[in-house]
Amino acid sequence: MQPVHLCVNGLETDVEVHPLETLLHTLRDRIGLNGTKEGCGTGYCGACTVLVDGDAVNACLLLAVDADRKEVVTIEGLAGDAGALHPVQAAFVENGGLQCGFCTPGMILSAASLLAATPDPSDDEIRAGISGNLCRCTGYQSIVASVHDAARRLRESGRSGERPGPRAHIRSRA
Amino acid sequence: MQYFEPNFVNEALVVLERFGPRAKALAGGTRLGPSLRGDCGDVVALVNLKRIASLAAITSEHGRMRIGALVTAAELAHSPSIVAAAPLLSLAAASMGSRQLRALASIGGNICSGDAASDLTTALLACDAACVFAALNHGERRLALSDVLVPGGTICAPGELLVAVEVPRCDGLTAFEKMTTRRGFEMALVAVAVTITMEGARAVSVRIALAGAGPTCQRATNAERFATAESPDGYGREWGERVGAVAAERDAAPDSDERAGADYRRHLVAVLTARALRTALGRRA
Repeated sequence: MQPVHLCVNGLETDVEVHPLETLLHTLRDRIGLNGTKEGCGTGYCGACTVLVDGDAVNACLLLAVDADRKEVVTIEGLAGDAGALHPVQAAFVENGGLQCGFCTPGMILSAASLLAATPDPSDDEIRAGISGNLCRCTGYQSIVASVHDAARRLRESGRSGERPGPRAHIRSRA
Repeated sequence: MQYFEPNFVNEALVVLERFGPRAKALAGGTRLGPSLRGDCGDVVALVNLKRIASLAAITSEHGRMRIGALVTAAELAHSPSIVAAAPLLSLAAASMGSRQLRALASIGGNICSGDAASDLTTALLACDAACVFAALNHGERRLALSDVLVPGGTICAPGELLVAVEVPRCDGLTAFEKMTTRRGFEMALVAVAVTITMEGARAVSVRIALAGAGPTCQRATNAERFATAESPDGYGREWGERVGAVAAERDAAPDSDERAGADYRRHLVAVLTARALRTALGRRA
């Protein structure tokens, strides 16, 4: 077993993992954060998308040992204090950007990461940005509308370009 | 399974030498991780390369770029030095899979996993790239990428490690064309990368690389020879279509699988080659 030091949603955590254990498994089964979903388990569906040092990645492909000393943001870490929804979450709720909800955590984190880099994306940029996230029920039209609305909400609240998730100081691996 | 996190290339080579074919080097892990989960087969040692800083570097010397084996597709797509010196490589990297995948997938892993539909390997072939392999007590050896690829992998010997890819400056007339059914989820059915060097009005060098058109990514050498020998219409549409036809008939040797039939892949080779040549020539000032 390998010791791994993670900063998940602002909280520093030490876990011991098997070298081939995925970050998805660590998050769900060791840390108890079940918001990150397992769909295909092979990097196609994007249901397991989390942010690692700000980049959207497939948690089913990234090994936990490779997240050592990195900052991980899951869907549980996106909302603000006292449970106030993040603007991207609020936009998905108000625009009906979900139906069964299974793809939603990954879809919202992909959108949040896209908007941090591209505050006012075009339709094409949004579709490219969420092209690694499969939705099998609601279709993509309302999701694209949700991302546009989220971009507007972030701009209007002066949070454009803000890196999603709580901040924590963590030493980079030397 | 024993697990190693070496800090230097030589430390990794000691482990790879010791365990030979029963050791696996781990780069991005997008292929190796899923393939080892469940059944590790004969693999008894996993060598995670992520702590070796030199493998993640992009450097430039004497007009050649040296791209460390751990450099990711996302870095290739956005790195200003790659965009300037090898835009073809950036285009191919940006076209790969999803953002989530590009953040993890590495150039070294892409070559070593030996996928016949690899976008990066195809672009690198058209850039005339070389692979740098290191082995304990043998230093480094450089081999043209086209001499390295075999079906399902590379000629990299047990104990050897692909440490870098060297790419000559390749900012001339280039293009990358690809057909896929679902962007973000699937590898290319067929992809074509081309680089053209003009001297005055004459194409003195044309490199054409194909993905999904045989058991490995490959150069379309017959089409390349035809392209520099013949230009009935001053490198116009007819020339491109004839070169594409040669690539489809004499270079491509595709198989049918669940994603596409051999005839369709051959058709794609012809169409995408002609399109790539037209796009590349369209960049003439």
